[in-house]
Amino acid sequence: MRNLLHANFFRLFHSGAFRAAVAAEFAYALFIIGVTFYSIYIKESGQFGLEEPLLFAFGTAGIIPVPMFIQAPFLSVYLGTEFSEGTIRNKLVSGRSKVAVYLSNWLTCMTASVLLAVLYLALVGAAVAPTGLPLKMPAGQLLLLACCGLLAIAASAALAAMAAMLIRNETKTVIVTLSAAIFVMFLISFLTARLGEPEFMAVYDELGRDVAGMIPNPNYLQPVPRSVCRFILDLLPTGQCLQISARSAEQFWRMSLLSLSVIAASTAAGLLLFRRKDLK
Amino acid sequence: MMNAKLSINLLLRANFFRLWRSASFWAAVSVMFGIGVFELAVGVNAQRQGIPVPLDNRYMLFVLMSGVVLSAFCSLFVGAEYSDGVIRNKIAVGHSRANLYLANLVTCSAAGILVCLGYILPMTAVGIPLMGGFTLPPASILWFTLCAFLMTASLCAVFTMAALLNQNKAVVAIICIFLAYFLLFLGIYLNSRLAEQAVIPAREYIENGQILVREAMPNPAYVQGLKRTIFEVLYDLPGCQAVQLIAASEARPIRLPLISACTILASAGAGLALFRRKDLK
Repeated sequence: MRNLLHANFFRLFHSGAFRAAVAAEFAYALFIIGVTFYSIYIKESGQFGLEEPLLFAFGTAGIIPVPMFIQAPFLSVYLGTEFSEGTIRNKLVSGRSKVAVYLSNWLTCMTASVLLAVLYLALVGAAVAPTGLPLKMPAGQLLLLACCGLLAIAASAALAAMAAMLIRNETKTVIVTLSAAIFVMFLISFLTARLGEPEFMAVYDELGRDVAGMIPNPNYLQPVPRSVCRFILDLLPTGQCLQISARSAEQFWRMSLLSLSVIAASTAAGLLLFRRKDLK
Repeated sequence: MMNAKLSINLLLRANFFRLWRSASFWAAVSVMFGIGVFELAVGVNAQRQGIPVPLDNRYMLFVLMSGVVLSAFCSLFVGAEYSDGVIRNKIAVGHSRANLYLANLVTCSAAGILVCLGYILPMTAVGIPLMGGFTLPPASILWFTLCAFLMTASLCAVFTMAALLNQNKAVVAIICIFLAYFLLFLGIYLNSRLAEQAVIPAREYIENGQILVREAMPNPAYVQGLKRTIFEVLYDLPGCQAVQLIAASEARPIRLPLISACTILASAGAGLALFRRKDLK
């Protein structure tokens, strides 16, 4: 296992896919630093705290899951190369078990994804902290949020690794993981909008007069569908990341436990299916 | 001349033979068919709740998703030419690179239109009886459908160019999918910016029991001058123009199909020039 990990990390740091992912993360960090500087020095609307640009490591303003858009193609290409270049076959021929191969790839993917997020945090932290932007939330809470976000990113990487190890074809994996990331982004926007519907709403005439008092909102979710929507939002790693980036996450322990459950379930399912898979 | 004509016919026949047996083609058709059934169900459900949703409103929605679905299809279908060694075989038996490029362009464009028909089929076959006919005249519906087909073909031309110029299927898939989404979101953004009114109209409102009047004032969000011209040019690009096509009206702008046709010609010209010089290994 240690040899496999050593080989994987060696290949990771020499892989074009990882370099492209680092470049993309770097560009994203530079963009956020630029926007932050523009807001502070040119627009002079520094009403936000230091935590805002930092937590954008997990998504842009609770809307765009940028880490997933970087991670999905990178992991698909990185792991897909194992199959297309026959690396997996060589590993198995040299006596490694399928479990060890799967787990080493899984661990490499999770570490690489977390490293990318840490790179963003380091770059943005180093650039924005000297501006004197105050922290508008307790440092402990920011640390907790960052840890939850990193765990969610690791969970997302575990899912991407499972897809790549089971699909094997790197192009198909790219299409599946990217489409899934985009679909989940839309699903989360929809769920967030539904959860944000008020229970009662006022009806106004064209002069802004309240004509019918408060009436029940037909789009308001009842307790059971509300709980289901909330659960889906908390279960999906992208949902957690977007909540963290919007600073609307509340139940840290629940989110962390759900991330761990996603990692455990996807790894167990992936291992089970990978062991039975005919690798030709 | 005769040989070249015969040659491209053979290539087209081989490509279409491969297309009918391609899993990615049928997957793309199935996805669009599924989206068509879903959009139809949404429309029928809204009508049953008393919300007036015309069929026209649902029918044109395929242009929003066709680019995204075809970005995945083109990278898989054309990419297989490289990974399976088909390109090498075709060139080895004497086909010209120009014919090879054009045959792929025609096949992908035709596949793009067939994929769109996967959406149109349930929408018209079941939608007309369930939701009532179109509110727009048939000529307008036909015109906008043709514009949508041409836009789809122009996107396929760009994706084919990307797939034939880059031998790495995965990289092509990433570029094409991001490009399709980028153009779509750019179109949505430009639509919202260009729809801003120049003047915010006067409005009466009540404050502390008194009726007050707010005078008309210039809208600071209104885009004007050179910036507006640039936005309008970008708004007509294939992918972006999908947002204009879903708002089908009785007007039949010639501009949109012309821009799509120009995109096909420009991408085919540039793609051919680069593909002829490409080292195919």
